[in-house]
Amino acid sequence: MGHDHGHGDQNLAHHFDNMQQQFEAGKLGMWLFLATEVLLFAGLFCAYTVYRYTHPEVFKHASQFLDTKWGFINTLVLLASSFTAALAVRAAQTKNRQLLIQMLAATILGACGFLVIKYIEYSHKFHENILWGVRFDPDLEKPVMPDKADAGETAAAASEKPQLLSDASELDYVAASQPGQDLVQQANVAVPPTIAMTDQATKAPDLPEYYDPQKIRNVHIFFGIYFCMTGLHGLHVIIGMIVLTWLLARAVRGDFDSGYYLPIDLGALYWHLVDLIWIYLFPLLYLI
Amino acid sequence: MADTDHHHDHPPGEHHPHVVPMSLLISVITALMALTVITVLAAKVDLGAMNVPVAIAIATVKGTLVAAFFMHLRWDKPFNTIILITSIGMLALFLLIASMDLEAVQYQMDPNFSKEGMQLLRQEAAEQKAGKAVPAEEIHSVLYPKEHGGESHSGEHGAAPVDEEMKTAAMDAKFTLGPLLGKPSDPANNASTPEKITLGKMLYFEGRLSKSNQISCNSCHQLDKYGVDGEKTSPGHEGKRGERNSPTVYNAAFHSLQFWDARADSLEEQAKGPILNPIEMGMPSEGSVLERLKEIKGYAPLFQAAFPGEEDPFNYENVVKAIGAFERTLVMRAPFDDWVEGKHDALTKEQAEGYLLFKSTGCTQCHTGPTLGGNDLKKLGDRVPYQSDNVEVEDLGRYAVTKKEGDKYFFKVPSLRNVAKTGPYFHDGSIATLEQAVKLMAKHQLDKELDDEATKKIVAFLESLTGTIDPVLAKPPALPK
Repeated sequence: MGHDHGHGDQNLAHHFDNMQQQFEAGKLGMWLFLATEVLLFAGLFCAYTVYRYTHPEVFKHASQFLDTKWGFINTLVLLASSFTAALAVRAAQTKNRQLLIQMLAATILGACGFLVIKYIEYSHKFHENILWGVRFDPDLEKPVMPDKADAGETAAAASEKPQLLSDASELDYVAASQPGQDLVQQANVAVPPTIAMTDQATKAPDLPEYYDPQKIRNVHIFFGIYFCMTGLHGLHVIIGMIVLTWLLARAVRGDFDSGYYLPIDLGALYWHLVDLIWIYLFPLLYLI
Repeated sequence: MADTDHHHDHPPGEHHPHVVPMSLLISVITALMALTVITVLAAKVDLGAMNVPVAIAIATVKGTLVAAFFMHLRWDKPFNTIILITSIGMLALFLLIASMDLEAVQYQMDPNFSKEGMQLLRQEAAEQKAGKAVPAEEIHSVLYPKEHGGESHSGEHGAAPVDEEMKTAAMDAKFTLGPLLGKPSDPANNASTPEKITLGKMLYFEGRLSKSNQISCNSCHQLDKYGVDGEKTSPGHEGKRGERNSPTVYNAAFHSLQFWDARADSLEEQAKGPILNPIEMGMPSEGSVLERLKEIKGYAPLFQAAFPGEEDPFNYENVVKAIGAFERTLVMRAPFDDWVEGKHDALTKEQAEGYLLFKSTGCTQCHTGPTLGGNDLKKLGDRVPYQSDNVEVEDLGRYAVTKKEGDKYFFKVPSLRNVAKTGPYFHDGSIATLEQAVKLMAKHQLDKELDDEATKKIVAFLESLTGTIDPVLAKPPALPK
């Protein structure tokens, strides 16, 4: 940048005809990049779906280890910083340098707030061994989130889990086992006493045993995907912070006083995408 | 040129920003905050199957607001929107394909989470829909008995305190293996009737179904000997012996695969085989079997009663249908079933520990379901190649049926019910004792060495799968003349 190309604008790169073309090309390039970002996370969302479908009880059970309060606050923090990023673009468009600096700083502050809360959550999990793979080894005796492990939650967990599997189409086996006993009774061959007892055997056992937390296996699966998803997202937050800080420095230097705001716009787009992904991560991980 | 639409008065090429009105941005952030609160509140309400769709729908509304207004897509060139939607469309495609696949493979994701276990969960779901769910309070009182005055369902008055470990082991068995023996379901074309079962029992014991008039089903699958003959391989026509050990007929109705190489999938299909096998019962053809039966006058009314309304009930299909119907009555429970159902003294401590060892070793990966096996094919020597002592004949198992290279050495996972009484073991009956069989299985299928103590415990557990023979059931019937 910085070539004076005869167009009178030092921000116009020499390979573009004019500012409008440069602006649109920049936006197009950014959107293509954002599409690859969506696809990057797509793999993780797919893995999440497969795991949740095959282990609904694990997800139901594991979410008690996450604190909805922190997830909720972080969502608000990220939304607010997205808002200030949008305001930063607006400030740059209206050539309001003071406001631009303030809004960029506010956005960076939001990013910091998000990371601090994430750090609190992560360090708690590391401390309690609520981690991926064989490193998932919490003390099950002690409820990690006392407010979530109370009666209401346990009952809700118990009542909700089978509904994730609610499809009565495969009940034939059990249903077919019921009738026809009299037939055998009437037969003049010996009836094994065992058959008479089978009503009990085909009856579903009492519900609670399946939901005994001790019985739910492979809970580490949830934390594998949790750390992958929030970790990759967290990395994006850090990168976003670096980009925003660079933009802040340029704003302070006065780079955007002329009303040229493409870098601000693209940086904000990146930040909005970070927000957009979190909008999905929050309910999928915290609100199970 | 979205911008120029709004700025007709500017010369082309000059970029003039579209400034989003402040009031709109404030409305959007307010809506986003409100929707965040709504999604948290919605998660607190149990919407059943709609929980996830509602959460995703709210997130999508929020996402759309961010993309349209914060990310300016609303005023951008539409192509940018197309790029975003395409990437999300790809994600949707991945999810669609994955979910179609999941429908098909979910039971195999965790071999310990049996198909039957899954069905139980589904049944519970159906019961819940029908309003027969266990009240939440009751669940809580079972999970946290201390908070409910120390009373739990199992803590009955005066009963000796049940060893918690034993109780947990029994619950684990119920969870791991799924429902135990029920009543086997009849195939659609062979509903059980008393007449059919009566005829079936006679045919089961009918020596005249063999060329020599000597060999019946019961010769090799002896009902008073737990459905086997205790031989390595069974003597058939003229004393000739096959290459494979006769499996037990008790509880065979619960197997989805019959024969060591699974070449039949029902009791009826299975029954067709031995009668015509030259080295088993040795009859030359289906026709000759029917001729034999027609010569015995007493069979005509029995066939007519068993298959009413059929013009000529004397056909080979009906012979095997009757035998199949009879075999479906050969259900034999064991102390293990009582234990799983809550009778905690049905097993000794050693046997219960044996079960846990059986499971932790990995045996339940294949020996699962109501008959602890019988429903799957697995390669003998899956982890460590297995060479039978019986070197004269190389039995390639399932390969003999399919001629597929990948099916070499695949055999049916045998049921372990009554296993202590149904030796010798393995497809060729080459292993004499259960201890040996357990050790070899652990080594070749799971690459694990079991010491004598562990083997002893597992064998003790396997003995709890031995039922009691019903003498009336096993008694040969009077055969027609």
